[in-house]
Amino acid sequence: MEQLLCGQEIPEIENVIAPGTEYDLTGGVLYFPVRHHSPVCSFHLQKAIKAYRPDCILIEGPENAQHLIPVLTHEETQPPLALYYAYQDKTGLISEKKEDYKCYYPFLDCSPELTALKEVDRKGIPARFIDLPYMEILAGTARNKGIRKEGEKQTYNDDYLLSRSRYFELLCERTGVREFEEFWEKYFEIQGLSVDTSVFVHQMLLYCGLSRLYTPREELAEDGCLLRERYMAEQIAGASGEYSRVLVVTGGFHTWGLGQLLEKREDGPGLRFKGTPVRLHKIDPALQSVYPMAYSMEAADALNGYASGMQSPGFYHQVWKRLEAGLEPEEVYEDTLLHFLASAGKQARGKEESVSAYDEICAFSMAKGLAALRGKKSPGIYELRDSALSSFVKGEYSISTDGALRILAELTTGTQTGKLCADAMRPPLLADFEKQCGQFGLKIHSTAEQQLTLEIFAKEKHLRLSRFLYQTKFLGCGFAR
Amino acid sequence: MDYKTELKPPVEARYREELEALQALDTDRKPLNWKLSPKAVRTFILGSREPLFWNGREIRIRKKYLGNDALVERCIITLAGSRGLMLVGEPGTAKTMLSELLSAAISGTSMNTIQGTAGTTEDMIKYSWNYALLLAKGPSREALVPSPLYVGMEQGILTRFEEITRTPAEIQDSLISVLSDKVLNVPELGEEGLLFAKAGFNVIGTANTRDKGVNEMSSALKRRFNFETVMPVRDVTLEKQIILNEVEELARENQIEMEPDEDVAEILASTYHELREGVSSMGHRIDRPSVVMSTAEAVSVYYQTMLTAYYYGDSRMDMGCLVQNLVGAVQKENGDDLEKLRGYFETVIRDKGGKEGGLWSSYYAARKYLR
Repeated sequence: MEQLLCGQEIPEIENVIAPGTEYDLTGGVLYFPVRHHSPVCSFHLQKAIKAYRPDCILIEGPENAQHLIPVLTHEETQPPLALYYAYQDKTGLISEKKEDYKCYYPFLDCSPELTALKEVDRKGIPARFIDLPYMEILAGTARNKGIRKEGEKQTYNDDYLLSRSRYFELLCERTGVREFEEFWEKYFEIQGLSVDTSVFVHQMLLYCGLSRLYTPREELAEDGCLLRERYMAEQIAGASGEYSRVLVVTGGFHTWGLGQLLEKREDGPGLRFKGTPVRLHKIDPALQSVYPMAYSMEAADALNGYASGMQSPGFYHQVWKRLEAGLEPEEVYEDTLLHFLASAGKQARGKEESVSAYDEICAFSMAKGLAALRGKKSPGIYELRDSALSSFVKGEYSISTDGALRILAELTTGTQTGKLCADAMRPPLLADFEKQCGQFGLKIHSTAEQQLTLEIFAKEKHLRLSRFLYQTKFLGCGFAR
Repeated sequence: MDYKTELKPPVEARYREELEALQALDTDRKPLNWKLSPKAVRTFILGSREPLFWNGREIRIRKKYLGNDALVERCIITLAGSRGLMLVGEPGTAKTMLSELLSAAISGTSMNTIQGTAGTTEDMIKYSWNYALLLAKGPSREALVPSPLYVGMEQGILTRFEEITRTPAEIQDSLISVLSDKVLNVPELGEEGLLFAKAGFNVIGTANTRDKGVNEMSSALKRRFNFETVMPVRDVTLEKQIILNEVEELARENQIEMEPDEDVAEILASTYHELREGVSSMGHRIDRPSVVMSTAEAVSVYYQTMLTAYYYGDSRMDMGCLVQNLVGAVQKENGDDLEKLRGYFETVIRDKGGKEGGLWSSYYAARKYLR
């Protein structure tokens, strides 16, 4: 980042950070800008919580899921998880079509929000979701924008705000990276591990502020972004009156907006909200619902078109595991790469693709060489893919030779699915489904394909299982074919 | 050697200034015996935004390979390692050009090359003898005439092996032991006959994939290389840029004082792109000709038309001439291909001519030459 912001531009650029949002451990409110599912953000958030010792944590999330926080942090619950929000627009508040709306809010092991919630649970301090309830967000969003975008699976995370604009195309060109995700990995995920938390937060604020500057205000209004920030700012102001050290964890894009809407009170501690208060609609609570559910890495992968945050969650999950295990930041990525090269090689040999241990060695040394050539502190997922392409593919790269690469892609996406604790409230259909799977002994905690042979004329249990599978097929949920 | 009158000066001569400047200003670590560091090699091939100041002059490093920066980076790192580099792909995708650029930048010469043909023998790869001297004085290093592989190993420079898959399989396989053990044995010289490769030695191979007369590579040989597939250019704007760049250079080298015409380049790039992909810009399916529609070919067609305009015309590109040259390029193997080209003109070009007018209309009008 440093080379990009040198010279006379710096004083102007510093104005990009909204006043009051700078990383200040002595303030009554500490803003922590994050990118969803980012290991480096989780890494620094843990440090910030340790240093700041907040007595209340506010998290960006629709507040109608407040009561589910204990489920998310329960020790039996394992990510990947999601909160599933639904709203039945029977009164035509959103549009005269009176449709049903739904959206997912995924949580992975490396999600900063989950990290924050877990810390909260450990320390016994209150945590709150401070975003508008789901249906209010819908009501405040223009048709086919933001969370109401048609044709896409709806996720709550709005990371796209950070990566789609002319600014980023230029940025990518200047820094010699192929796309935004590579830029993010090089300068934040990898480089961010070796800087102090205050420096990291400063760079996040700069970056998010710049991306905000390049987004037209109308877009922000249509996306529902401004409305949500007003509501969140109101909540922050309220909490700052009640608690003396409030930590605010939101997507980095919003931090600037929040900073603009709040100012220090002259008549006491805490902040005052200077925007227009948000008036909520009166609705029948039965129309809105939210459930926790087990989720899968595959579903969370942005590459699958679900734009929920970072690509290849399986890869970053392994990075996070190593960070949690206490590995030195300089070693984390190399160790992760070794893990994937070895696993991919092993699986490839199982499927009779010819990948030898020597190929893995060459790939690893190529990844390190590429990282050095590209000025990256450690090799990341792009170097992993590049080195596998060079070393694992023998011959012209085509559908017949890319078996090993597809295996690698599956591994970096991840095959894990999560698990909820036993007493979590589930939608009844889902509860019955899990119960039946348990009765039949089906393994449902991995998204890897499994084959079953059933003797439906010989065994009654198999006949029932066959019927069950056909029932799921009828529902069109892709569980069985 | 004065390269000014040569038909095609080698890369190291054409870009001598850039290479000298890069070498003088290079401060990064170099692998043993490399003339430039990997970062500098990358800059040489991919260009640099800022000009270099050297010897009192401002030197701009042009981007010489357009299309895939990551590919170039991988090639550089492969060559610094223990495996060879094999560039494969369709004909006309700039594999040879990339191989020359890498060789010139890393070893300072792109001429240590073996041309693979069906008649390539082991002596053309490894070494042969000066028979007169051999008979007169017996076997000695003096009597040995090194071939490019021997030279590469002895001097620690890159050896280029063009069209490696055209050579018979047995000949290809003689590379296997050299690439694994990095040692060449000359039995006639006894103990002194063991040549250990010096640091800096490596092999860059190129192979066409879609062509007649191409043999399979054995798996044993494949394992000694990192393969990089060079794809045809997928982006029309990029293809247009490549045509313009190449033609500009050709014109400069041959003292043709004529500016390349961007609009004509765009039409040509669009034609080649659509015929290669098999789909028009409006999304309609097109019958693809069986002949390979490569970017190198497009450059040729453009340049020929340019020469005609310069020498025979009034230095303005003539669409009729362009189409005639296009026919020559397309009609190489199959009479059907000309039919497909005609069909393309009657549908896609007619629409474009109607919509855009101007040059596109003249292009469409020139279809009478599609015979």
